[in-house]
Amino acid sequence: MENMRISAQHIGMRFGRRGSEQTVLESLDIDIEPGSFVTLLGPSGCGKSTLLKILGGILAPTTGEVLIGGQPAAAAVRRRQIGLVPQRPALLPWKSALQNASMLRQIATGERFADAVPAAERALELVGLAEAGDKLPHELSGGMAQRVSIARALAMDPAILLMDEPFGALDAITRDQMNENLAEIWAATGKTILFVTHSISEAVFLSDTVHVMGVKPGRIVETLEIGLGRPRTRQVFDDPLFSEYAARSRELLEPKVTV
Amino acid sequence: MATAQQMRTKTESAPKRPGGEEFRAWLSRTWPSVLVLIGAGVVWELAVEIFNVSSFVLAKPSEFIAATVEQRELLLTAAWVTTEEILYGFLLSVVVGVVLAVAIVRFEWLERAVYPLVVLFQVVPKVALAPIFILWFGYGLAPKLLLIVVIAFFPITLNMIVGLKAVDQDLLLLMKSVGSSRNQIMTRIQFPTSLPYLFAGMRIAITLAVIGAVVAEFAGARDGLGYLIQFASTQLDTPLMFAALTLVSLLGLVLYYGMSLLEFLLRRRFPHIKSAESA
Repeated sequence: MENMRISAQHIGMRFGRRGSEQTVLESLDIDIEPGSFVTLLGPSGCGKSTLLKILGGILAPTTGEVLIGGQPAAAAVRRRQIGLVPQRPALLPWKSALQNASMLRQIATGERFADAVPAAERALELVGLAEAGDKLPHELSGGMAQRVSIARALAMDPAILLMDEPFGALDAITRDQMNENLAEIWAATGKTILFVTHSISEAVFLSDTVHVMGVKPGRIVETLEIGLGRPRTRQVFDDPLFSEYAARSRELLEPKVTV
Repeated sequence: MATAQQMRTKTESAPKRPGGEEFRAWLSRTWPSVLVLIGAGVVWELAVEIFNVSSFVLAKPSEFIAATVEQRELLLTAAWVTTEEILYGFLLSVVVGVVLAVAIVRFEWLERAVYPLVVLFQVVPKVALAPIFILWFGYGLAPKLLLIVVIAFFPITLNMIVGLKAVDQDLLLLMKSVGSSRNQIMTRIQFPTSLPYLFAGMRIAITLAVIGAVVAEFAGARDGLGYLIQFASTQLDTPLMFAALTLVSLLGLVLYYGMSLLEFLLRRRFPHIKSAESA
């Protein structure tokens, strides 16, 4: 297994034209162990989504450098080691779930649809949609569509999965199910998962490490190592340790409010 | 009574097909305007009768329906000539419009260099170009096609550009995350995404193509419905004029609904075409 450690140094990001620039991220250092589940937790506008794209090599930072497995991050993108799951499913409305799930793999590898099908089917099975391959996006519920989006990333079998608030638009019940399913997928595949969210409980439930971020400019306020056992199920919510981590995260996110 | 049974099951199952339901909905939307049209025809007929208007000035519907039946061969030949002009001209407009839009969106420098000129060109009253095209290309098919393209390509280009740019930003990011090329993004994402917009543009273009063909025939032709209208007017054959005019309108209507049909058929393959129909 290739060592796909992500190490980022002095990451800074500025947007806008010269003179009216906005500093989104300032001098960040992050090190991510291969196979770990790492979450960027923060309020909207803290640049967590931007940081995610930079760490995955999809976006080039203004300053600093990201190395994935010792090479520049862009090389990992070219070797299709990065699987992205955006906030909205962004499925092609004219393609079936199976076709959507195979689309990125086909582009990344140059395979024909028929050759990409086995991988896409395995990925759909992994997200619990083995039976829904023939359905068109408008026939899928929000949760199912997002599952297809996850399958689309998994079908490429990337070493690193980037998930940008993937469950933000789902209802609470579906969201809990998706979180449990994601924990299973992570355990089964051993992929590095970089996850972005503004939900504290989601972050604590899923992660090995939570980077709590602050705003103006975007920075990491504190890094929490989540010492809860694995595998995690819903019972974790009742664990006093869970509440402790959640309370600490909340404190960091709202420094002026005493908890 | 097996056949009766079969027929009943057939009609009972008919509304289940989406096509059948849509047709019913279309029918219930359409019949009031058909009634108004028939009513207007009756009022027209009676008015010409009562006020004793000369048929040189205004033909009665019954007169030009009679003229249509009487001169059906002449009219049909002319209609076919015009239909051919319209269809070829329209297809050429689609090709020109789509190629131009794809090129403009694909190459930024083209957008800066060509797009403003394309928009500026819309200020030119294109009907006034017809005599020039006749002068250059004579009485054949070429000047008709050219005039149709010049009139009809613009809504196609404009709509297509909007459609090509209306791509889901998350999808673009996904494509970037696997290092895909701009050409891949164009063919796999942008082009299919723009189809509903293209169809909206084509609907406008087909009616403009009818205008283009008739105007080109006015300016100089040896056949076609536009030519027939002018010919009839020099002969003071008002019923024939109205007959040809009605036929041109009918032709436009048929072509417009032909576009709807094409759209409907393509929807099986690209279900998102429906969503932009109302836009």
